[in-house]
Amino acid sequence: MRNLQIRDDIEVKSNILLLARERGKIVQRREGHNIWVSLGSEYLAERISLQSYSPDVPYNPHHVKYMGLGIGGSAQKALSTANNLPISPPYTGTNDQVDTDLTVTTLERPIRISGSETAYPGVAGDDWVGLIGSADPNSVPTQTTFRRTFTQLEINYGSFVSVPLSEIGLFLSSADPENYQNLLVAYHTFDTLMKTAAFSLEVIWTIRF
Amino acid sequence: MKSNVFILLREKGRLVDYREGHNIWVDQGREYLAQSITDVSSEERGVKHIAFGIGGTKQGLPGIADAPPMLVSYPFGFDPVGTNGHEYRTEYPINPLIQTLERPVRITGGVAPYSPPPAGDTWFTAPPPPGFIRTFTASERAATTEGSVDLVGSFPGTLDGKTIRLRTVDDGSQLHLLPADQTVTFSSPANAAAVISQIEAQTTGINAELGPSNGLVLFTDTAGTTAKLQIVGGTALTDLGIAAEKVSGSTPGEVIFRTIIDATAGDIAYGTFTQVPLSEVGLFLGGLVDPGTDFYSLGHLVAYHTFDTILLTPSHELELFWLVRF
Repeated sequence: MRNLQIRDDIEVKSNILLLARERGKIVQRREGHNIWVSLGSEYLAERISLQSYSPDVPYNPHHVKYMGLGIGGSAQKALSTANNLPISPPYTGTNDQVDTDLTVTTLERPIRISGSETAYPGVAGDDWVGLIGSADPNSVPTQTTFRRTFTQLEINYGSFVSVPLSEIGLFLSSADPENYQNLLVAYHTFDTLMKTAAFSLEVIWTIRF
Repeated sequence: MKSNVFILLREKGRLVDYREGHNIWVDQGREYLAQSITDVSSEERGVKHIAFGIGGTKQGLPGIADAPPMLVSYPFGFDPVGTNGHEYRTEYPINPLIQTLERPVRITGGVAPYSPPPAGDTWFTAPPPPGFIRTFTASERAATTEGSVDLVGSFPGTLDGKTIRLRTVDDGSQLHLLPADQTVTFSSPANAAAVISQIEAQTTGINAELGPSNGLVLFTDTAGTTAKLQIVGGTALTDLGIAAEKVSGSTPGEVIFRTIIDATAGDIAYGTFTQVPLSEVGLFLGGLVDPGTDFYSLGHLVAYHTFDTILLTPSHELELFWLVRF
């Protein structure tokens, strides 16, 4: 039997798991709880609303489509790497953002999946967020899991041999992958995970309603 | 404590009964949310209907609910679980599992019982307004009202000695229960700036400014849903183009659904239904197979609330606000 349920507001809970794999073997692991930021709450309010009826047209027809990574956030432990060449100036910035602040709107220091090595805002053709694809069928129907594997050569290209990842966000289908400052709906900052071309990074992000 | 379902019962415009409480977002509503954010092609529905019923554990007038004509037209035991008609509860929506209203009532139509499904009945409020209205907020706002008179282009020179009566709360309390009126009495204001300064000098928790069209804007000190402002009355309202109304602030991530049941026009309390003991209400998605016959509308209920009985008669108008907060 399930526990007594008394719910007023709709609580959006989630867990995030990052697994770095080298030839299939897990070599680094991060786990935690992200926040569904205020922009995400606004999105949900719009998502369940119709802007016109018969035919019904959703006010916001978008869905979660992209995942993006960064080296910002207060959990960054490798500042000497993050703040020096070759990472900075291409990815210059501060590490003030916390994942308890619902007003967070973007990654603090987003990094490219692929593209150029120029400083923000980058150039046309840069790819700042990764396509998630279809969400996993879930055994618990009131939750959904987003999964994205960043390959060995994603993030780590050119001079970016070692990238100290420390923040991650979920983005809607309205995001522009070539824009480095897309608005996010969920955010998490985690102890630095040093991504190299030796391993892939699998992200498993579960949202529970 | 914040409430999110508000029901106001009026007779000839006067408030005669009131309920406020908490809804439950049922399991199939949470499933709908989980699907909505993943793939828009598989889930395009939105919240579109509100329906009322006489079931739920809060039904306090079984003598009316379980006697003719209600018992004949709206019998118990036809819901998917086959309950005794008073078992759906907000506190524990999985036993029995709430998938629809326990004993839904028609908005308009006939008197036939649930089975077989009667044709031509209307069980759900539906757009366009006032059947169903949706507002959502993109940013936190104060409770605000704006006058229609251009105080710069056509300043009214008739305000001396006239009044505005207002009341406000900032903690979500009900305006008709707690605060005393604040009265602004104008003293020969010469221009819009003087109107604003005299209002702000004579009120607490209320600000004034000019809007984009130079109309008088009144707004609360605090923002968010808990901020409320009521223009109670006064002799200056016409001069300023201000409506006597209640307004609330708003908080990002909230959406408010509103509907009006006008029993004086034959909604719900029609024909032999001279007393309808309403005690449950549900929020439904669009995409009903047939709103006329699919009265249980399985798979479409996303939120449910049962409340202490409100007795609806043909002389009443019922207004419902349903606030969903993420």
